[in-house]
This record gives sequence, C-alpha cells and structure tokens, in this order.
Amino acid sequence: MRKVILSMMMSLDGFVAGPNDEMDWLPPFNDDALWEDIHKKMWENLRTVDTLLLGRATYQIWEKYWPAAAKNPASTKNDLEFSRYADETQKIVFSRTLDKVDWKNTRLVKDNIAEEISKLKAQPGKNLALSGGAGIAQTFIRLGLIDDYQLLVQPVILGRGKPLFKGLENRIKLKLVGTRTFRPEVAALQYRPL
Amino acid sequence: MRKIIVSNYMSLDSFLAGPDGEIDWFVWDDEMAQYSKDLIGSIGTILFGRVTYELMAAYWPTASSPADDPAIISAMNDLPKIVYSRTLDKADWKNTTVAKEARKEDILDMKRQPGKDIVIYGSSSLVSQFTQWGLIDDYRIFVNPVVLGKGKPEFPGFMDTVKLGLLETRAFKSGVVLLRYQPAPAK
Repeated sequence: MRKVILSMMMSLDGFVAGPNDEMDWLPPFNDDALWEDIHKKMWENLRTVDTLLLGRATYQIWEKYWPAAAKNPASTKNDLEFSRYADETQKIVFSRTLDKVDWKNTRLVKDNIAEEISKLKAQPGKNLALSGGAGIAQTFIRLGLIDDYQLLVQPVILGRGKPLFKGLENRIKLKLVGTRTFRPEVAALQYRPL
Repeated sequence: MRKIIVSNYMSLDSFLAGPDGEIDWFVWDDEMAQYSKDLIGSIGTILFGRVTYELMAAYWPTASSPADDPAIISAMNDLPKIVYSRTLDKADWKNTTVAKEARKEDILDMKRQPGKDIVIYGSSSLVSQFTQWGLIDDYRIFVNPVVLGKGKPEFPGFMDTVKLGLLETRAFKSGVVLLRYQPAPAK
C-alpha cells in the first residue's frame, strides 16, 4: 500500500518555521555542496514518490518559485532538477480558500482530507510526500495520516515559531526506524507510528 | 576547566514532561542504565532547579528498585548537589545546598575550581538560563520515541535563536536517540 511520507526540517525545540514562516535558521539553500548529502537522500526518497501533497501557503510559494527557477540561469543544479521534477509530478493542494490552481499537474482538494488520502492510498501507485508547510503537516499528523516521519533536526534552538506537532489530543507512540547524521550537522530521525 | 553537561530526556515534540509533570513515557533499560552510570561516574556536582530537585529528593534517598543500579543510587545520594530556588529554605537531601539564584559569575567560579564535571538533570529553566549565558558545554538530549502533544517544554523562555554544534547521534535499541550538542563554534 502507498505510504504518506512526511519529510521536514525541524529545530531541536520542535519548530518547522519561525513565527512568520522564517526559514533563515537553515543553512543557505543556494549552496549545493553544503546540502549534497541531504539532497542525495531527498532524491532517494523522491524516487519512491509519485504525488506531492501541498498546503495552500507552500503551493503559492512553489507555483511562483519552481517554474521560474527552471528558467533562471542563476539556479543551482539541484534547483534545476527539482524544478523539472515539481513541474512533472502530480501535485495535490489542500485548501478551503483557493478556487482554482493553475500550475500543471495540480489538483485542488477543498475538504475531507482523510477521505481523500484513504482513497489515494487504496489506488495503485508510489508513495505520497508531504514536505512543507507547518499547517498542513499539523493537520495530517492530527488526522493520523502520516505513515513515515522523516525529520531532519537542525542544530538550533529557535525559541518560538510554528511547531510541527500541534493540537493533539492524545500521545503518538512511535517506532524508531533509523537515524543518521548528515552534513551540515543534521540529525535525521525516521519513525513510523506504532 | 570543569564542563557543564546537560543530560535530559525529551519527547519528539520537545517536551521534558507531560502537562502535570508526567514522566511515565521515559524509556529505561539496561543500555540507558549503563549510559547513565558511565556519565555519573565522571560527575562531581549535580545542579537542579526546584521542581526537578523535589522529584529527585523524593525518590533517591529510599530508591530500592531492581531497575536502579546501586552505583547510580549511591552517586545520586552522595554527590554534592546545589538546588537553585527562591522559595526553598532548606534542603534535606544529603549533601545538598540551596542557592537563592544562579549567578553567572558563581557558575564560572565553580567551573574554574578543580574537580570532576558538573551535570544538570531536568531543570529546564536552569538549562535555558545557562544556555543563554553560554555556560553549557555538552548537551545530551535523549529523544524518546513518542509525541506527547502537550507538556512542559524542554527549552522554555528563549528570546533569541541559539545555534549549537552537533557532536553525536546515537540510536539505542529501545528507540531512544541521543542527540549530543556543543555550543556552536564562534564564527
């Protein structure tokens, strides 16, 4: 059965973004050499994936950024590769407020997230990846929809921001699948729910 | 110079304890016991905030569980301890001193004295204060395989971002992961 993989950067104190979605606590994105190990792992994961799951905010950033990155001579090699991947891959945007989505290979889902995901999982195909947006990640976790947590813990205490886990009524017991260290100083933790 | 080591359990969502101080989710097994025993063998002084002190002082003087290593029991009881508290008048646990507040100069003096290393268990407010003073040399955070959803934050009261340097990642058989950090090297 297809799995829903959540793959995100997190601070040691559990935040995935600053209070205003700041990502400046991460090492500079335009340095492919610095991110080489993580990119290699990311592509390994993406080969098991055929659908990207996006929240509204991430979608709006991505639909502007990635098609433009494909045409930008200053784009890094990894950015060029990902811009092609993001264009061609099936994308599902979860939003109550958007009326339509224009990016190619994109479908809008306005409600009933859990139903939509169980329908998708029952269909044949590769895995589904959720890799950005605190809000959509919180929602998926709350609904118990994540099969595989892949967290990249950055060596930083943010103090405040948007937490990955929010609004949970009950504990989630996890099984550690594996752990690894990536340059630059990232501890990768992989879990699945028990 | 003596090092200050933090040794703390944490849930994956960065809580030190549940909303009412619950620690029933702590994983404790032979591997953790061995690690704790090795660590406390290198320690000369233990520092606590009031809340953690009260938990520990209620437990260790009469600890007799087969899960507790006798070496850990005697180290906890015999080692010199300082509890930082404005409200406690005295501390009855053996070899414990009450200090009304933690002052940076006093801590630096303590680090300069000869002796084995200093450890902080639990005591999140103390850890936050010391971190903001740049006084912690070695963070050993044991991430337990659970999301609590709510509780007492491991790192409360940070106004600014603090960068650390990753020293080690180690998985235990129980699913606990040790994340070990030092302060970020000055750039």
